[in-house]
Amino acid sequence: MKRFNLRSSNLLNICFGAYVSRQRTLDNLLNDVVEPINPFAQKFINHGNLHEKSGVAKWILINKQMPTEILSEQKNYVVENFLNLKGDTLVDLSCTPDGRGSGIFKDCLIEIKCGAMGEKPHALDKMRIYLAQVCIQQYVLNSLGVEINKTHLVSWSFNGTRIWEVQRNVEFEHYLMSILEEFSIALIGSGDIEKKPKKFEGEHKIKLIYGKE
Amino acid sequence: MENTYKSVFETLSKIDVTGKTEQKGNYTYLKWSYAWHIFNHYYPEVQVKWLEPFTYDNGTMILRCRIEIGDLYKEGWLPVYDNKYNAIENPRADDIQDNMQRCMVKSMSLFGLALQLYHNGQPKPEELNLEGEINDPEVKKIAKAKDKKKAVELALKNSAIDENTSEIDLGKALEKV
Repeated sequence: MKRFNLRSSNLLNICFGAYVSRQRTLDNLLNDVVEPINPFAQKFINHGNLHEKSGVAKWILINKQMPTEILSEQKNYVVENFLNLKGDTLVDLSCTPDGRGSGIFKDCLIEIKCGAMGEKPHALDKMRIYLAQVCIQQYVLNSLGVEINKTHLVSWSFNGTRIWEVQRNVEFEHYLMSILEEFSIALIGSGDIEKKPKKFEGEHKIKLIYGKE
Repeated sequence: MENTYKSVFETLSKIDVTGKTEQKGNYTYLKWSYAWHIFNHYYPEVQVKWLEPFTYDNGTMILRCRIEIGDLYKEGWLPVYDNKYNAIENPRADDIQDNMQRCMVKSMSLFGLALQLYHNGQPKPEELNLEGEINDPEVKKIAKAKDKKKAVELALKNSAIDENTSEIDLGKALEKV
């Protein structure tokens, strides 16, 4: 039996071919190829890995709550065979959120982004690219029986922080699931993928709750 | 023991120069004679060498000085300033002499002596957090706690940490939750 894992962190490539084309992402998964990260992108990834803890800490200080599943205790959630495929090839959908709230935030995930090498927090336009990852994280946890209604999407920098609250958006979820379904069917060898899927026409449920635009 | 840049810097950068400074305008300087005294106390082989100054078409100039301790050396520079920190056109010998003293002391600071005066004007050495240490005492408690989650919750409850706490420090403390 062959098993593929679609990670929410790779969703931008899987769904939209943002950094690596959809076809190449598909081929890489089929051939077990892990592409080397170019030095320019690696610099940003290293910065994000290094400062994720500062973003989590900022969330704690602002919200006066200690979240769970943070840093070394992050938890990987997997919806096995998320399309209920029958056959020798299965496709899983997984995510590893940066944290999960507790107390009054128990239905809230935390996702930290440390963009622009820490110079300044991102504006909404830049943060929109993360909405697909956030949406699928919410979907995965809800599918596993963990009620999640929102995500605090944190843009941390040395010079300020912004937090957006992203409400669960079933319409967007359906849109992404149809793209993931198309990709998964191509993975099991029963179809092709579109180069660029059609745009989401609905509205995102996102609002700034900390920091100034 | 042979001197190294590291050993010299560690020695000189820890010296408290309280009472050995003078004020010039808004700036505090180590007096040149104290600087020379301290250097000779620790490194009697010290040599001061003057390099060819840079001179400009408008008659202003930059002095250049080299401080040597055996094979170790640092080179510093300073324009010839008046009391208001404007570069002097066609400076006189006494202008140059005053600034040579300042240039020598500045060049010595490159080895660490009274470098803190250039950070913040304070004569006491400043501890810089270069090794990733946690500065905030409340956050230090969290870092040392066995159960960091509980320690954070307690600190939040007691308002020992709040939005003004450094998230960088707290992040370090939480790294191993």
